[in-house]
Amino acid sequence: MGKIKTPLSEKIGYGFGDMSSSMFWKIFSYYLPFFYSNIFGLRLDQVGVLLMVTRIWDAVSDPMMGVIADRTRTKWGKYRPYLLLMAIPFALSGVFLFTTPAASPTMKLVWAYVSYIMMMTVYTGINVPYGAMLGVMTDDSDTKTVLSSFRMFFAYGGSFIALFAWEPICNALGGYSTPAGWQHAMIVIASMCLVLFLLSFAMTREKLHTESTSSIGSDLKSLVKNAPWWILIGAALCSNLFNTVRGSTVAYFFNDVIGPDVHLNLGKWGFLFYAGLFLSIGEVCNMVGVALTTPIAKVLGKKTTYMLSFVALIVLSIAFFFVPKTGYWWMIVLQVVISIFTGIISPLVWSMYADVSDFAENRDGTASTGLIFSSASMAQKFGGAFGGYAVMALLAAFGYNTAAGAVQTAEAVKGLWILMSWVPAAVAALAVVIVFFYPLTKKRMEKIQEELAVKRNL
Amino acid sequence: MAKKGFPKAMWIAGAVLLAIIIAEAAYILSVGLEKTATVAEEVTLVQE
Repeated sequence: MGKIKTPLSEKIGYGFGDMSSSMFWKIFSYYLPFFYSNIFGLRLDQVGVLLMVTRIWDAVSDPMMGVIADRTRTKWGKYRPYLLLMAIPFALSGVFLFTTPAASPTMKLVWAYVSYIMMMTVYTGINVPYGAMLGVMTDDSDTKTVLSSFRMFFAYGGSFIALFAWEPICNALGGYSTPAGWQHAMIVIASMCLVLFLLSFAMTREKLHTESTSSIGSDLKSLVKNAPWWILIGAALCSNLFNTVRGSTVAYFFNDVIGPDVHLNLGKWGFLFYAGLFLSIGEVCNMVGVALTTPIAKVLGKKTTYMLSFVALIVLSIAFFFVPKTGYWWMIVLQVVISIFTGIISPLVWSMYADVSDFAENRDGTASTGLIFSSASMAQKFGGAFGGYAVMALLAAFGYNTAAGAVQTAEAVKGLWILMSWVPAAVAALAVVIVFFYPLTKKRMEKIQEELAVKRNL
Repeated sequence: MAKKGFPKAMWIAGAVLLAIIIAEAAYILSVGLEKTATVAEEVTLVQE
């Protein structure tokens, strides 16, 4: 049991940090491809390569920032100073990212690369130290779980606000189909993020002083021989691919299949059915799924829960294809159920990584938790990089026209339906096959835990 | 005990990031902003 007290204000302050990051992250994930192809004016193939290059950079820059942050020693601590230092560059980079210069197509492409790579670098610069900060804020394992819950709760809250408000803000400040509307909306969101990061810096404290002593070499050796780790990396890649493919298709789907003026009636209230609403419903249902993970996994075990969730996602994704064009309520129902299942999967993956770490500690005597988790986030980002590229390549293959106000061909419209249904279903099927071979079942983990308990007490 | 302060890599990275931000701001100020989506204009031109 730890001795360090963590007041509520500090927990909220810690939550603010990820609230800010998630607001940005969700807008990048869901709206940036659409912005580049339909507002900024890049070709789909250019967007595809751009997304892949920048996200791969984002993945490989994570461990570099980890090393830099670990070696920082200031009166504010190791990690916390970066919340202050990076807050302004973070907000500025966001605004530059959504700025469309009046320049030649070549210069615009250069601008897109410079501003997106810059954004990813600054994002890593603030997000990696922020994540690591959890380990030095308290010495109590339960408080760490509480802080993580605050982080997750605020992150979902931030995502919800950003997605729900993005299109209305664009429309209010210049128009959803104009570069000015997108830039102004980003100025609003970036200002909010700046304030949240500064609050997070002011409200949190680093209380533990740690020195990292582990040898990277032996940890790496243990890792490459870790079969469950390889399987899990494949599974995590699939779950990220599933989310990225669906997520980055939504803006296109609403633009060209649903259209801009669909209103739905719920009793007395009528409301506009837009991409942000659809996505933010997904965020809320993700939260429900996250809450269900622990009780379900306790009964079924993590492997079974993971596989069954993905089997459900295969069926639900295919069902989406058969919804009629005006079956808006069915789309919402499917989004609700799909998001509950993806919500169940996300904490499950992280918790399975913790099991893999225990497996490694039991077999090789090296925990290498840090390495396992940073490799996991790298794998996730590779999934996002490939997913973003795949969506652009498939859109181009279906003949999607990025011109403003363009009428899409029947083939392109069908392509959007396929990207919302059959493609994610195929990814989910792949995930089921991969996880089938995952050896760390509930029974096996109970045995490992028993053995570890004995070893740790020695 | 490791050295106090920020590591050298951080100072170099920080200077590069700052230089890029300044360059980006200067570039945007010099060329100005796009008012309407370029793609739409290009398509109209091609159609004409």
